[in-house]
Amino acid sequence: MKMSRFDVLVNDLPLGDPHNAPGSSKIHNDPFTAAAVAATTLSAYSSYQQGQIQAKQLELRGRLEQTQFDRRAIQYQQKANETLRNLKRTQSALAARAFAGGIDPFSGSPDVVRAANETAAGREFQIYMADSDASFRAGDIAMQSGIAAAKTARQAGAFEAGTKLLLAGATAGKGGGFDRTSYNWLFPAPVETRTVI
Amino acid sequence: MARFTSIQTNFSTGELDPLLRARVDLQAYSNALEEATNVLVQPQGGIRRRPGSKYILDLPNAGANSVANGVRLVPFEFSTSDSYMLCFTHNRMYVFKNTVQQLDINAGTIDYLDTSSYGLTGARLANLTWTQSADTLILCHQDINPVKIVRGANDSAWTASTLTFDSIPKYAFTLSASNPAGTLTPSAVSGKVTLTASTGTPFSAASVGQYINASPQGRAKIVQYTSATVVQAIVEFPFFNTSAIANNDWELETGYEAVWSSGKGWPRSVTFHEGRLYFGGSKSRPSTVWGSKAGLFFDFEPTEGLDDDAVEATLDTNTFNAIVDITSGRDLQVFTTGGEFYVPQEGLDPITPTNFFVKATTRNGAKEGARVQQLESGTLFLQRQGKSLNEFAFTDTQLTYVTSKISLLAGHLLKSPTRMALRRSVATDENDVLLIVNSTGGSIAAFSLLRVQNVIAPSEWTTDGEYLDVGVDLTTIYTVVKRTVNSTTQYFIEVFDDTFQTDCAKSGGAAASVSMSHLVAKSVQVILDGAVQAAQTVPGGGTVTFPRSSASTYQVGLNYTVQAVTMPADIKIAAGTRLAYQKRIIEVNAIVKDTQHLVINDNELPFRNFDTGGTLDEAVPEFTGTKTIDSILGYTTEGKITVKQTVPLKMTLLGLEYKISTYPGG
Repeated sequence: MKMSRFDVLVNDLPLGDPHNAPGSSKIHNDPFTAAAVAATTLSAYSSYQQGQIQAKQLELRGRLEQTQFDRRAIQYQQKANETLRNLKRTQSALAARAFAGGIDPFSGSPDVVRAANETAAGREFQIYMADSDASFRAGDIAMQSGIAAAKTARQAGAFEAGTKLLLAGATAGKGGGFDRTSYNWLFPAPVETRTVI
Repeated sequence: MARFTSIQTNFSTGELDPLLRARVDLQAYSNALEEATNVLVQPQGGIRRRPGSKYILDLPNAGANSVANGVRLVPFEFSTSDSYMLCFTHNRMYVFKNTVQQLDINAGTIDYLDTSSYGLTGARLANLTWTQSADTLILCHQDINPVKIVRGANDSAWTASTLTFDSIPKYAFTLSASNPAGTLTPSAVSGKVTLTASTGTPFSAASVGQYINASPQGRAKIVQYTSATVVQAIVEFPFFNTSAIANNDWELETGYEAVWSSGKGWPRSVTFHEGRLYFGGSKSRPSTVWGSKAGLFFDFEPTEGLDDDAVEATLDTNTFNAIVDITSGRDLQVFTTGGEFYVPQEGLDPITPTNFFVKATTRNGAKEGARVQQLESGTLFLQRQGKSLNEFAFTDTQLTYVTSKISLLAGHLLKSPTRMALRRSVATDENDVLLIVNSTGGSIAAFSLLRVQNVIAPSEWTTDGEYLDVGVDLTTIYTVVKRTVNSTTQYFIEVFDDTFQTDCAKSGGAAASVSMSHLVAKSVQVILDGAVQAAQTVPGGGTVTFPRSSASTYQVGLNYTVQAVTMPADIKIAAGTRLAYQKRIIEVNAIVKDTQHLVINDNELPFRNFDTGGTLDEAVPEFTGTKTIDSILGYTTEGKITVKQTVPLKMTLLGLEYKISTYPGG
């Protein structure tokens, strides 16, 4: 299974071992401060995780909606084809009925009715095809919308986590300072978006 | 020789075909006559002298307008109180109302409507068809634009005009397709679109009504010409898209033109039916039926195929069927040279473009020119060669139309028939009377019909001349008669009238003479106050002077012979039949009603009774009862009774009881 950059980062987090946590050498001198910093850090991590999960959900929802629109588009195409099949059936029945009725099926009223049927079926076919196109486009839009929402959710989660870490840093600063470089893992590079279909 | 008594109680079979002379097994035989000339069978079974005819008008007998070039009687019922008989001759239309000619047509100086501008020539009158609604009569012939005759404000106000169509259906008599150079770009894929060609001059004003076909899809009908490269069109099947359609991927389909035109001919038959005007057949499309849009009688071009749209159908059978007449009966009925058709409808379902079918039923074929006639039971039509009179009727048992031969027992009376008219009964002592004009011999085959009782009683009407046409205005029977008068052929409009006992006659009240200039040199009968005078020859001046002045009534006209001959007597005795044995009619008891004159087997029966004031030169009293004549001589193998009249007086014969002598042995 291919893993995203976030997946790697999340899986690599050194959870549950405060001795290996960055900056522990300065904070652990004040147990209360250290606890506050740890709690804030955990909260930041949680916010980050929430952002990631929400992003995934939004992205999946986008994909789902696109799939639904795609399915609908295909149904429209099926209806369009069904219209043509019905037209063919109607026209053949018309011809057969005309012959059975003792008249020429290719002139006069049968011809007019045939042309009217073609016009009506043609319009219907055209509308179904337009509906199909529209549905495909709506699916694309839904997907793009989901990706955009996912990106926003990630950024919001990261921003909230960053804010909390800043707070943790400030708390740690009161007790013994804060080493920014030790927390680079909380400030990831911008998320890459994937093009789906 | 033994004597037997028999009776002929009625004559309801009328004149029997000589081919049935030996069919004594038929019930019809005992009710039949071998000859029934100038009599009319009554519904109760008796026969009476046919009505004489009243002289109305001399028609042109020389020049282009001569009746020799054609004549046609067309009834026109304007309202319950105003009905007319129109008589068309070459380029003229005469109008008659209540047996009187309408003069000074349109307040002019002539007594006819000039129709020379509309192609109503004499030669076309034989195959003229018509239909009428309210004040408008529509006349059709395949060589002329249909003509509309409209009655104006009064009896002598009449106008003729060519029928103007709101639209005429199109047909591609010679369909062709071309691939113009360049591309074609539709402005939209459906609806009304603008089609723009990239180059050349593919379009012209004549492109309107033609079609554009495109690949992979698209078909549009050109409705408006803008320029040589631009037209407006209604899309019948959507184009694929609005991109330019490459050369050779689109074609111009041409050849569509008005189905009726001077070049392609005009409709042949016409009728109104359920809110549409129908035309049956045209010169170039003889097997096609067209119906107008519902309520729009002159709009025939179909558009969307909706229920009220114009309808059109072309008969598609394994024989050629040129439509000769179309009529609105129980259904829309179509009569062709090859068979009889109808447009089936279920219940109250209307005819629509989607259910406009024309079902074949029977394969007799109908004669052109003799218009079909509607009877309560069905539609009467003459077989294509004029050999039989048929009835086209719907049967509930078979749920379709069947044709029965009305003339089965009297086919010999049809002698190249040309015209047909029906007078419906208006009283219980009348049958419907179908009058068929024979071109050979100029007689009329008169079928007295009471279909609910299965009565079909034909007789033959003759006159001193030839009947050319017959028409019925409600109850009044008009006829056109050709007579040779003073070595000249003359044509007369006459009206059958029960009060007349002579033909081409005039009548009046108290008078000493009458002008009979239309019958110069003819021998005429003069009846004064009901008393028949000696026949006179009309002098050169035309005035017939009576032997005495009439006190109350006179009638002067041509006599005609009335004769009825019974079938050979069929005596059934214990020893067997005696059809061809020697036999002798000994005595006859004639049961008569309101009769003034009768001759039986050349023996004139006495009707004048001096006891009751019936002196000579007074009207013969009308006698009702039994007149007996006996001691008739002569053995023959046939034993027939001949009843006739030699003078123009009333006669109604109800039955004949007779005594016959024949060989009784085995």
